[in-house]
Amino acid sequence: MSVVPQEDYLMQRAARGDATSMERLYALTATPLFSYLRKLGALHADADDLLQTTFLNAWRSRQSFRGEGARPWLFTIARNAWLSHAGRNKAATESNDAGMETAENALIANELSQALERALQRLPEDTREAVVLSRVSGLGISQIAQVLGITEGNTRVRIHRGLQQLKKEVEPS
Amino acid sequence: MTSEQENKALWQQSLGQDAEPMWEEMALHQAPPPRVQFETVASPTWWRRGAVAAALLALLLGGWTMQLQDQLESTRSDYIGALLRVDSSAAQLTALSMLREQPLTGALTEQVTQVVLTSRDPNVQLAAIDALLAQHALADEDLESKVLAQIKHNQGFIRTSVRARDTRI
Repeated sequence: MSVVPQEDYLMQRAARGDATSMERLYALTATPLFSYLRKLGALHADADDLLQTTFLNAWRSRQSFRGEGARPWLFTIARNAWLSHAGRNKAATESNDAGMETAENALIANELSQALERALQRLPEDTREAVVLSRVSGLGISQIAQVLGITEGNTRVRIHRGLQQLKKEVEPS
Repeated sequence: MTSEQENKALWQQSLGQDAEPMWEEMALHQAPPPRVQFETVASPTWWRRGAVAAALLALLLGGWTMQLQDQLESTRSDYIGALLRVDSSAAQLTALSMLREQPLTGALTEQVTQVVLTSRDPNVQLAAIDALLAQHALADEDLESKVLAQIKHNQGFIRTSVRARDTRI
């Protein structure tokens, strides 16, 4: 998985009002963005809404796109949408964090997968975000740092700590 | 090194042999299809450009219309002038009747005045004076005296009209 220049090209065309390019960009980046939102703790329906909001906001502010880094730009918009949503629905999110026994989770066949999903929700939010981005976003460390607004060094530390904690959680005692 | 390779290497450093299974198990979630429609709304820039273009077009059309009107007026003035020069009461009366819809310019005023002074037909003289009065072109007292001297036989009638200035004969 890598961020291809094609995405920048599509976003540049979208910035000039080409709706078809925006639709193609959706096809290329929606799954990583949706996975990011889901693994941060959003329920399926909420993650879907947030994904649509992300693309709607991206379309509306397309003229502020600077010409490169379409994917980090989209992830930043998704992150802002998530933070706004989480702020509004803090209680709901917390209950989701604690429970996580939704019907969807029951569909995750593998035991390790379930254990990982549960462990991920127990991570501190900033650490969880860094780990999730390193797995699903297709962004490099420098781009993840850009999305999170921290240094590359801090990003590496967060990912490392998060993974260590995940490993500890899923290892049989 | 791609972004994925870079991240995998970091996972490898942090998790050792557990990196690969954990990486594989933390699967992606398939995104639902888009529900939003990306519609293009004409930006204010386009509206502005359209408005400027329309304004320019209006100015050009306005300018062209004015130029055309000037040309027509000039042609009409030449025609009236030509008719006034013909030694025929009918032609001169036609020309003088056309002056009701035509502003009297300097040259035309001069010609109409000449008609008053030179025509032997009182009807033409009266029509010419009428045209001059209608457009306030008989304000000069010297000219007034000349006109009155020339058409003594209508003097009483014309004097009343000239003094009134805005009274049509």
